Amino acid sequence: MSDLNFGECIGCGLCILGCPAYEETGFDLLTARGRNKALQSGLAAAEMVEPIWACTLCGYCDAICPTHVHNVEIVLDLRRQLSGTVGTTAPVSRPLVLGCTIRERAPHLIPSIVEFLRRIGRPAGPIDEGCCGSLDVEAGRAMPSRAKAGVVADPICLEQYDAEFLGMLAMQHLDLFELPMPFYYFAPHRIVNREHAIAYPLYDALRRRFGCDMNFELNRLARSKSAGSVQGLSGRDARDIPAAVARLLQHSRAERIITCSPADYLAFREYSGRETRFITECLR
Amino acid sequence: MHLRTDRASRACYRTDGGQIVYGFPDSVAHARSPEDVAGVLRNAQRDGTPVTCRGGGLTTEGESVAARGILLDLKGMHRLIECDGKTAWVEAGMTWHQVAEALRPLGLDYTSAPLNMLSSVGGTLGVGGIDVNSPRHGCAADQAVELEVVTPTGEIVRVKEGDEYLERVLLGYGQFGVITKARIKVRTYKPMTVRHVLYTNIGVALEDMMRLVEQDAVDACAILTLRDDVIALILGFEGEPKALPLHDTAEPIVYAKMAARFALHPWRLRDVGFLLRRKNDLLPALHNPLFVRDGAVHDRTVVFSRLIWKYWGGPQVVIPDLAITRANFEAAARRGIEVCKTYFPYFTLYAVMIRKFGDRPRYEMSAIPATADDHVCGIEFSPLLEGARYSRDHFQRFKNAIYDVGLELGGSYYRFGGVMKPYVRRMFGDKMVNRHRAMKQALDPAFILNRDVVFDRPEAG
Repeated sequence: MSDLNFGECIGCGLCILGCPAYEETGFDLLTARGRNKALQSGLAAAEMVEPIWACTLCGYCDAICPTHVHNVEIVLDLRRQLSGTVGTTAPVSRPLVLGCTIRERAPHLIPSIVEFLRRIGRPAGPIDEGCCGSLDVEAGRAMPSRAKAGVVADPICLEQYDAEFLGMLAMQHLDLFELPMPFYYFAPHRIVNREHAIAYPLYDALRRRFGCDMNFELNRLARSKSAGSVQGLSGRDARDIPAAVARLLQHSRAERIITCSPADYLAFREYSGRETRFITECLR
Repeated sequence: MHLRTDRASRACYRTDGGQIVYGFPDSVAHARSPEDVAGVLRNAQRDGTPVTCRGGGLTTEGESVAARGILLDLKGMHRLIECDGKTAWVEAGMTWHQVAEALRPLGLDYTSAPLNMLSSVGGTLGVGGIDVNSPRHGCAADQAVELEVVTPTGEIVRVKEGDEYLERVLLGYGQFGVITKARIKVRTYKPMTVRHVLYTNIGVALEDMMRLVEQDAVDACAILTLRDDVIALILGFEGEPKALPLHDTAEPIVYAKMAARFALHPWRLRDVGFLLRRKNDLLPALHNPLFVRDGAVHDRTVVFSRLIWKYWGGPQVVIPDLAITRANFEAAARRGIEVCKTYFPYFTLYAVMIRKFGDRPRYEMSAIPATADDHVCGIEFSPLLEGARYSRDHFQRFKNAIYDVGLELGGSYYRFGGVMKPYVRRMFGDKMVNRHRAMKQALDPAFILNRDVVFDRPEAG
C-alpha cells in the first residue's frame, strides 16, 4: 500500500475539472478527491463500490494533481480488493497489436492501418489474436503484466504493452494524410493525460497546423467520454456516452470527426450524427 | 435532486480547503435547480434542520463543513444559460473554471474572480473574490448585476442592482439566501504579459503598488513575498508591457544583500534551500511553454489557479488576512510579518488592492472595510509549512495574533466566519452585528441556513 498515497490528497479539487464521472453526475464522491477523502475517513473498498467503478481511468486526475496522488493506481488497487481473486495475464508479444475493438467491431479499419504502417516502414504482421487482458486488469481481476510489442493501435492495450502507439505515429507523419477541414480531432485522452510531456505537443501541433477543434480543455489536458474504458467496452456501469459526445461537440461546428482511438471512433460514429473517420482512413 | 445518506457520500465532505475543521453531515443533497434548493430549505425550516451550503468547498475556517444536518451541494447547477457579450447569466454552482471554459469559445472572459478557479460563483459572490485585476475592477461580488436567490424560507426571487435584497445577499456570507443564478459582467478575453520587480523593503513595494493603482497604470498587480527576504511586485499587462517609474531594487543587488545577510547569520543558511525551492515552484509555472505564447501568458487564470495549489497548498492551509485602509497598509504588513516570524520559520504574504464603488450597503459588515478611500487593501499571511505539522491550537494562536493586529489598526477580514467567528463582534461591534442578525432572523426564522458560521443563534446569543 506504500504507493497508494491517498493521504497526500489536499482536497484542492483540480481533479474534478475534467473528470468524466463528475461531468455527468456532479457528484464529488465519484471523483478522485471524493474517493480520497472517503479513504482518508477510513472507509473500506466495500463501502465505496460506486466511486470505485465510476472511474474510467482517463488519467486526468493524475496529470493535474499538485501533490502527485496516484489516483489510477488507487482505483485499480481498490478494484482488486473488491474482486477478491486476482489472476495474471500473459499478453503475447506481436509486431502489431490491434486490440479486440478493432478486430471484432471495426475490422474494416485493418487494411488502412496495415497500409499506414507499410508506408512508414513498420512491420504490420502477424497481428494479435486473443485479448491482451487489459480489461481484466482494469476490472481488478488481474495484475498488469507488461509485454513488448511493435505498434499498438488501441490505447487500452497499452496497459499491457510497452510499445509505440499508432495514433502518435500518425501525428509524426501528418503529410501522409488528407484531413479535410473543418474537422474535430478527438485525441486519445489516456495517452495525452498520462504521457502528457510527449503526447500533448504532438496533438497540439495538429491543432495549430489545421486549426481543428479538439477535446483539450484550458489546463491543456484531454477530456474523455468513457467509451474506451472497461465500463464502455464491457457495458458494465458505463457512463452516459451519448451525453458525453454531445458535451464534447457542443461548441464545435466541424462537419466530421477524426480520431485515433478505436472505441471513441465507434462511439462518435454512433452518437454524433457527423461523419466519423479513423485516422488511417484519411491516408492520401 | 439526489439525496444521499450513505457513509461514503457524507465522508467526502468531511473537511474544506483548510483541512483544519472536520464534520460529517447527516445527509447530502445534490441540487440541480432552484426548486430543489427551495424544497430543501422549506423542509429544513419546518424541521429546524441546519443546512450548510457548499460550492467548491474551499473555505478555510470550516464555513462549508457540516457537523450535522444537510450538506447542500450546489455544484450540480453548472450551466452557462445565456451571454449577451457584456454579461453572462450563469448558474451559481459553476466553478470559475467552468465559467472560463464556457466563455472562451465566445472570445470572452469573466471580469474579476478569485485566483482559485475551483471556487464556485455563488460562494464567491457571498464573500468577495479577489483577483489580480481587482485594483481596477473590484471584487468578484461587484461584478454581479442580477441574482436569482432562494430565500431561507424557500421562496425563489430575482433581484437586480438597486434592490435591497441583492445588497444583503452579495457579501452576505451565505446568511440571507442561497444564490442560484447570477448575471455577471464579462469582457473580451486577453492574454496577459506578466513581469515582476524585486524590493528589499516592503514599505517601498507597497508605496509603488498604491501609486500604480492610483494612476491606473497597470492592468493587474499584486505583491508576493517569500518571508520578507524576497518581495516581488507582480505586474500584469493586457498588451505591450510599459516602462513604469518604480523604486525597485535590481535583482543582483537583492541577491547580494541577501548573501551578505546570510553570511552574517550563517544559521539561516538553510533558508537558502527554502527560497530556491519556492522560486523553482513559481517561475517555471509562469513561463510554462504550454501557456506562454509570444511572451504572454494565455489562460493566466488556469496558470495562477494551479500555481496556488503548488505554492500554498498542503495538508493544512491557514490564510489569515487583513482588509485594511491605505493609511494602515504598511503598518499591517510589518506587524503581520513579525507575527508570522513568531509562529513559523517560513511564510508568504500576498497583498492586493481592491477597488470600491462608493458606499454600497453590501460593504457593511463585509471584507470591504469602511473607508472613504477609492481602494481598500488586503493582505494574506500564509505559513509555508515545508512538510512540518502543527497543532490546531498553534494555527489558532497564529490566526488570533494576526486578527488582533486588525483589531488594533481597524479594518476587516476576508475570513471572519467559521472558527474565526468570535472576531465578528470585536471587529464590527454589537450594534452592527445585532442589526444584521435581526435581518437574518427575519429572513430565516429557524436559523437553518449556514447556521453558526457568522451569527450566534438567538437562544445562544
